[in-house]
Amino acid sequence: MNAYLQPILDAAADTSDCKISKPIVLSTRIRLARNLAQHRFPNWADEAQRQTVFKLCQKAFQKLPQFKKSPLLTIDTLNENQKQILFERHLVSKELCDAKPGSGFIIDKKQSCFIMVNEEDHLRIQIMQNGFRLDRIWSQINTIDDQLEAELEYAFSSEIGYLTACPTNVGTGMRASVMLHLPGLVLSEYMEATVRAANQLGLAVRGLFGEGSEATGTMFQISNQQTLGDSESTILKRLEEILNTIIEHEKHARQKLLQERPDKILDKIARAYGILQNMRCLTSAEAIDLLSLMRLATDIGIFDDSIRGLIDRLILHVQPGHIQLFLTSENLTKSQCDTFRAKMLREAFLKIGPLDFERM
Amino acid sequence: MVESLTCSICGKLATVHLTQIVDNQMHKLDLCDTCAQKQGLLNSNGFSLSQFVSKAFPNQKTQPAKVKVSICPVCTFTATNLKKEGKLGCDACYTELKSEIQPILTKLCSKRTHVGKQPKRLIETKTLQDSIETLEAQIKSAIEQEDYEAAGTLYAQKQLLMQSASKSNPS
Repeated sequence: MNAYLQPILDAAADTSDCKISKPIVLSTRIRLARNLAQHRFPNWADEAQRQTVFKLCQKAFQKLPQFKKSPLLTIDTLNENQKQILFERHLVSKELCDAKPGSGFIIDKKQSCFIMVNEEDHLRIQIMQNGFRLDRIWSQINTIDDQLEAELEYAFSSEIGYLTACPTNVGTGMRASVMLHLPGLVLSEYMEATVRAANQLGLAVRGLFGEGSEATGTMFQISNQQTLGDSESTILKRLEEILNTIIEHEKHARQKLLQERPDKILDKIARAYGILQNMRCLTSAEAIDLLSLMRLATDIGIFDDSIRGLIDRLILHVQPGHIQLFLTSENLTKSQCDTFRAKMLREAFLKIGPLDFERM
Repeated sequence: MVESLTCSICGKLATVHLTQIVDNQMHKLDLCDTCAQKQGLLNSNGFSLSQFVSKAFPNQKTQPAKVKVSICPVCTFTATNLKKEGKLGCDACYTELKSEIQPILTKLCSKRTHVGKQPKRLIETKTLQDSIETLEAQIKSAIEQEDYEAAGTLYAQKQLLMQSASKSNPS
């Protein structure tokens, strides 16, 4: 298993491509929830029943060209650090990490599509890519869903659609979300109003790590709330329209801040840079907040555009699971992690070089 | 329950018939005038029939009223489980516990009917059935018009489609 998984864990650099790392939109993700007909949902199934579903899914995956050489890995063969790393990359959920035996996941050879087995539903098919790519991802995930459906019998009702363990997912079973970087709206104190408006339009706004997480680094996951009653294309079109509006508001907020109170925003960036060059001890939450300001600095031209991809990579690398991966040691104290994190960032920003406010 | 003609305490003719429902439990008591007055039962303020019954007849066990709980016969998931976990047991629960699920769906979304992608197998089955129904209507019409040759041809087509339908859906 490790021979297959290790390259995936080591491929931290691939999660943020410098060429396509753009301002404001960090990544797009679509997830489909599917279940097998006439099999108990995972929460109500015993271990033998979960294993039956696991084996049926395993057999089905082998028929798909994208997954032919990928093993279906069981979650209990991962150690805590490996689970944490996959969670930090938004590839597996907390629920899967805590799931009972008979749960697992499979990754396609392009490392773009992840399917969880026996998490909340029998299948959770997910594709995540950098940038704003709802239509493209929908096309890819729809194809995989069709291929799986040809091998498995899905639980479906012509009245209420794809049947899921939790009624909140019934219907299309689709959750589409986009991760946005919104420092302009936060600094202008418009974020609360934006969240309220998004909620009224049927969208959920969550922090960096999904449900229940805080808004670290002014990064927000915005997703559709309702899955029943509209087609997939209607949901995606509506999401795209609203997100485009939010993106425009973010651009205006940044412009306004730079025009009306440039010193306020530039001072924040300068202070963050000063801390990153000198601090000796840093928590992951503070690191992400500082890196968020560096991403904004890149967007407004203080750093070269090519730095953005590196910053996105660092946002991942400063998280606890990744720090432990780099230190290749277990039972590290929080203090040791914080010290290593600080050193990693100091070295990175030494290479990046000084702030150039004249570039703006 | 039929009212008793004799007093539960002294056996004389019962003229007072009391019924009280507390927490879904029904208590009935039949008393004569004298016993009813002695027990202060004709004063309705603060009187608990169930307490009176348990004191006067300590060995009598009151049967709790049976409350019907919906249960999925396929996976034995109950409405109580749904309330506790917020999730269901299997796909059949959506039919078997429909009355419990409907309010949840209504609360989540004003639209209650699925619009969007359907499994291809379902679409193929539906198309076949639509074709079979169309042919049945055409056969009936041909017979009414006494065009038995046409009816025979249409019937043969229908048989072929029904064979395809049973192949793709053996159940």
